Amino acid sequence: MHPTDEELVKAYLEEDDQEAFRTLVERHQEKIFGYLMGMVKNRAVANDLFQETFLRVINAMQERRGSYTHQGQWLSWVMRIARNAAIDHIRKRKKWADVSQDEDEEGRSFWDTLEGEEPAADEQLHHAEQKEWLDEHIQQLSPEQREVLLLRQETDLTFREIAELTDVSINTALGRMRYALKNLRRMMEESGKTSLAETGDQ
Amino acid sequence: MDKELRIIRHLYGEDEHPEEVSRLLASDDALRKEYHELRVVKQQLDGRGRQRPDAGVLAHITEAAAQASTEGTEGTTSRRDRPPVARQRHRRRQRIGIAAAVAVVLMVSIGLWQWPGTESGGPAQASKSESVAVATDPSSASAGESSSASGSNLPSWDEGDDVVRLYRYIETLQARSSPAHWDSAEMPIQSVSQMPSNR
Repeated sequence: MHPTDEELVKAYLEEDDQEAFRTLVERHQEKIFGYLMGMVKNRAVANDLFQETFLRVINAMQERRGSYTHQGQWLSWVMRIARNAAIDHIRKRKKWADVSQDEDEEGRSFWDTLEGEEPAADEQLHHAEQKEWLDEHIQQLSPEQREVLLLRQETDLTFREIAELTDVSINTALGRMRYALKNLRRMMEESGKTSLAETGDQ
Repeated sequence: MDKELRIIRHLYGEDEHPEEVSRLLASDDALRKEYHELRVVKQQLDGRGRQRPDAGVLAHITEAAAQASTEGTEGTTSRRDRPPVARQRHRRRQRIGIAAAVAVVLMVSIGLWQWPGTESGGPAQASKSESVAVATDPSSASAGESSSASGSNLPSWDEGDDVVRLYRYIETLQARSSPAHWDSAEMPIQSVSQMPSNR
């Protein structure tokens, strides 16, 4: 029987159970790291942000008046810390600020006008290349669309939790996800990756 | 909720009434086409696999967690408290209050020192000395304008006999002369000999 996140948190804080904390981290590491990796697209930076996130988590959990309220949403709380760390990093690189975040009626923003770095049209994609192709084109999405897509795909947070985390309505979160998927689909078709696009139809 | 958004929730298994979505998809060709296209993309995304941080990162985190836990319980049964923020604020307020009180005392002291008629001396005393000197100068035509201190208005420190006689002489002169001005006629020389001698 697998203990819940809340039980592991309690074991760590009240019984100094180090293994409980390690289990917590290992249980969610792929989700959190996958999100960070998708946001910064650099493994070394993602490692640093992952470590920084959990150092903040440890400090906050140890403080009596820390920000964790023990309401059974440990992963959502950790993701908020991870998201803030990622945004801080991106803002420092000035790839987030000074750009209009207004979206048009179809959910497109300034970022959608950027030209993408598409691979050669005749390039045959194997499974690893398919992943690489997707990773590259996820970066071409608007920051808002990319973030919602990564949060949903990597961390398994619900759209309601994503909406709360990003401080938008659930309809806005769903709309961004819809256009993220549509834009990826359009990129597949424009780059001639019909085999990639048709794989799922079988 | 728009049907286009609803199929997104359905795609990720969050729809509370999937049978309704099924009916929508069956009756709307455009919606069904979009749903299938988006499902293809999702399947590709699902096939990307998960990534993990480096092993050293995880080790460092667990070490930090152990250290934080040890520091929290070392020597005590309860976790260490935060620094007493409230007390530091109280001390700071105390210092500010003391500084304000000192400033007020200084200002009051200076004001009293500057105010004429106080016993503390300083410029008020000097100005009074000047007025007395002007009054005792027979060549001064402004004697009438000097302080018209009668015996009853003498400051408490001006109680010497010589000074009292001096004031009375001033009063006499004032009574005899018309309102004096600098350009008025000189005092008669006889008045000088009538001045009290300072023995």
